[in-house]
Amino acid sequence: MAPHDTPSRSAAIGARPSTREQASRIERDYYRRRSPLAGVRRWLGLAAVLAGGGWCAWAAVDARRHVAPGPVTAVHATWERDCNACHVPFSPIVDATFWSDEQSRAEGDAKCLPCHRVAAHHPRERNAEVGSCGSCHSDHRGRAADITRVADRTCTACHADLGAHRVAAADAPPLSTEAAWRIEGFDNERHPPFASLREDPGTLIFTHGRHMLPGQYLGAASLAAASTAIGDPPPRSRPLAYADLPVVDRARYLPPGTSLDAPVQLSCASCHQFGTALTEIDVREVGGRVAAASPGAYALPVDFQRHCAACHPLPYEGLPMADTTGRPADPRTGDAVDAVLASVGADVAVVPHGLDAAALRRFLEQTYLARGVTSDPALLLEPVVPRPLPAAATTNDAPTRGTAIRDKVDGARRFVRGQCAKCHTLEDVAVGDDRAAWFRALPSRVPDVWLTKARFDHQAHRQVDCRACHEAAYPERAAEALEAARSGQGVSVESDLVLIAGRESCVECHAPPHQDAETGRSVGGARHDCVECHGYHDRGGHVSPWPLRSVTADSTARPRGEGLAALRSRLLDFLATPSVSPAER
Amino acid sequence: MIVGGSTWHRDRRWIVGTALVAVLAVAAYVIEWRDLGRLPGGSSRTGFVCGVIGGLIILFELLLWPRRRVRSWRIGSAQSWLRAHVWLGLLAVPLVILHARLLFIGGWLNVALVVLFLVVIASGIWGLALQQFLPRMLLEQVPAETIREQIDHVAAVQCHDLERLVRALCEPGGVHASDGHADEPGVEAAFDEGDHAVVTGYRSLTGIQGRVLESVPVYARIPGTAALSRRFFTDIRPYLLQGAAGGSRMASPVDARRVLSGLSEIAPAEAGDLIERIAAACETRRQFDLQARIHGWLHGWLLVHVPLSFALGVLLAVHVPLALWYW
Repeated sequence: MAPHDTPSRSAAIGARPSTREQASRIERDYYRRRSPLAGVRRWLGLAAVLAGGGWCAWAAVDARRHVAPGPVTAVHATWERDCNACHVPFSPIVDATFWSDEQSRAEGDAKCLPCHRVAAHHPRERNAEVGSCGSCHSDHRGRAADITRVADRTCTACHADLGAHRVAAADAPPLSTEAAWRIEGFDNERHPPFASLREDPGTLIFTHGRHMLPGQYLGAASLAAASTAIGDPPPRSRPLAYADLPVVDRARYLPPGTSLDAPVQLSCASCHQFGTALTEIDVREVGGRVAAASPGAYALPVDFQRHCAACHPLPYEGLPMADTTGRPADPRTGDAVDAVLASVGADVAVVPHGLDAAALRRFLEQTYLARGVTSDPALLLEPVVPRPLPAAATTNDAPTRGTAIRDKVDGARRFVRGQCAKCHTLEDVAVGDDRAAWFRALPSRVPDVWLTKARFDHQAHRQVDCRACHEAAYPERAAEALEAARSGQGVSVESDLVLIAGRESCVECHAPPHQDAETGRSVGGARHDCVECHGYHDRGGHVSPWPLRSVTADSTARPRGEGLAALRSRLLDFLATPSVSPAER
Repeated sequence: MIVGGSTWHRDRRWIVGTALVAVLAVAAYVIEWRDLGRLPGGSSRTGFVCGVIGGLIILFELLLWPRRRVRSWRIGSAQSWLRAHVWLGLLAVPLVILHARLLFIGGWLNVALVVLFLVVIASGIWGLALQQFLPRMLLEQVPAETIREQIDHVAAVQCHDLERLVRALCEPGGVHASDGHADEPGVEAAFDEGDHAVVTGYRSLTGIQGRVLESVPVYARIPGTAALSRRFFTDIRPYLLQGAAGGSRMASPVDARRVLSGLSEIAPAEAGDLIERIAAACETRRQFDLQARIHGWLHGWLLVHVPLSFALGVLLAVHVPLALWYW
């Protein structure tokens, strides 16, 4: 071992420092100095606060971009930068939240009402359950959002148990069967059948099935089995041909390339027209609901002049009458019908459609009076016979021209009654002191719009065949209906059938996509939410402020001409005065 | 905060409570969703309550910072605060998501708020995850652990001690001038001005900070250690001072072992202890480097978590009145 290599040195070199020695290496005031990491953290924190503050300042300047949850719908875009146009500060715009009460709802709705003047949904709804505008129509869902499409829940909240959500009143009528349903969606289990299709309110006597047959002909065999019940159409001896139609109507009904001798084949469009734009005359004639609907949504009302007169011209002369009903003498003879057919297309005098009893009488009287004057112009030159003294006896028993005219009028009255009775339900009406059985047709009451509680747009369903929803109107059902009528089962005539398919037909398409259990094909997919068909405000306008009416009901035809009034009064006076023989003048 | 272990019973209570509240909130939200027929938003009853509770939780989370800053506030222990901070923070996630209509929201302010919130939460979860194993790693792999901010200082002191040892025992290698060395024992060694006069291993320290005069037994230099001295000053000393950041090959244990083996071969046997001492110092420095890295992972996430939470607080302070204004 070298003198310098002592055991103490080795031990000293190899000794590890003690923890005390290690601790003594640490500066005692190290904690007074911030670590670099902490320093960076502090500066980053300051920067983050400044950045956050800057962002908030930006948000205050551009609230539309920062505060609004999304763009408003296109129709509200004008006010997008003015939040206070719709929002009341510190007042909830929706209901389902705290501090929402009648006052907050009223304040919020007051922002909407200046532009959206809407009526309440129903007179018996509970005010406390009526939500604010914003509760149902939530905006800020983008420019293309349709904020009128509300969730079903907003409707079924009440309609799932309507009885519990109506204002209780002693005079409140009971809920209808349909209204009492637990309506929770649109399917056969959760939605009631369409109430307005329950029964036909109309009084018209009309058979769709027969009119859809070629030539409207039930066949020769039906002649033998024809019913004579009032309201049944008289049988034909042959089909109606295009040649039988008036010349002016042939172009409308005759398909190109079809012979004039071919039987007339009507289609749905022959009578049910869907105007893409209502003409001025249409607007005057249709009800408010149809006029207000989008073009093509509803069929224009069937108009006698446009859709019926070509085959049913309403002559007031022509057939011998056998009874007071004005029906042909023997419906089993083809001659009587042929005579009617002969009048179709011929230039015969017709009664204007839609006259009431008094107007019909006036028309007939004026017609025959005018004929009388026309055939004998000298009649006008005859002096007026002075009225005899009250006590003087009238010895002239000879028939007067007035009597002849009266007979003519009476005959025409009975004939026209028979014509009207084919399609209308009649009731006797007294006209002045005339004891004859004048009549009037009851209002047809055929609804312009059948689905009174919902919207329906035929234009949107143009890809669907008419038969899909109106199967009952086709000839195959006509025979069934007649058979049912004869056997006394169910409805008496097809006229009482509602030829519109109801809920079951709609549910086939307006349902979630699924596979039909019977056919296995994919069905459904069309929208089936409540607002697809129903409205809310003012019950969606379904109950039209105008009474439902058709063009041909309740309309009053004007007299032929005001200019004839003076002549009429003179001639009536003339008729009232018994003619005096030349010897008495 | 370590989840589990001896404090598992406390964490379990928090976990159960948090889960219960979250399930109740979700259930209430689903019920209201069914009632309304659409996703309830922040102004709905459930959404509003979730928003209020979530906001209060965020406020509580922010209070952790002043609680840690002002240590005299003895409102609950720091550990309880941290535990509440973690579990309430996790509870805030479903509440805020429900309040934000399952994140189907609009408006840049709201989106920024939600994004900030999620990033803060994610960074917090990341930090919590790191805290489950990094401290143990530190404990097991860094027995020479010291205070992170003092690593450089302690390493410098260590290097200085070793340098003095090398100067005392090794022949000059031409790199550093020798500082006068007596060949006879008993002669006091000359001290460099400003040196921390501790030569570890010679005698016990008194623990007094500062310059200390101490008698240093003088040993004769070991012959044949010039190369050792040279290698120390060229390769080892820079590593001891700068650590791995200096790019020294001594940072790699394999390379360091090779270097020290080479030193053992070229140095005389008498220098074996000195070489071992140098090796120990290098190992300590390596541990310091590992400690610095682990410390960086353990605390680096706070550079994201803390600043963004401040920004979150600012945006939340603006969101609340604005949301109530345009309710």
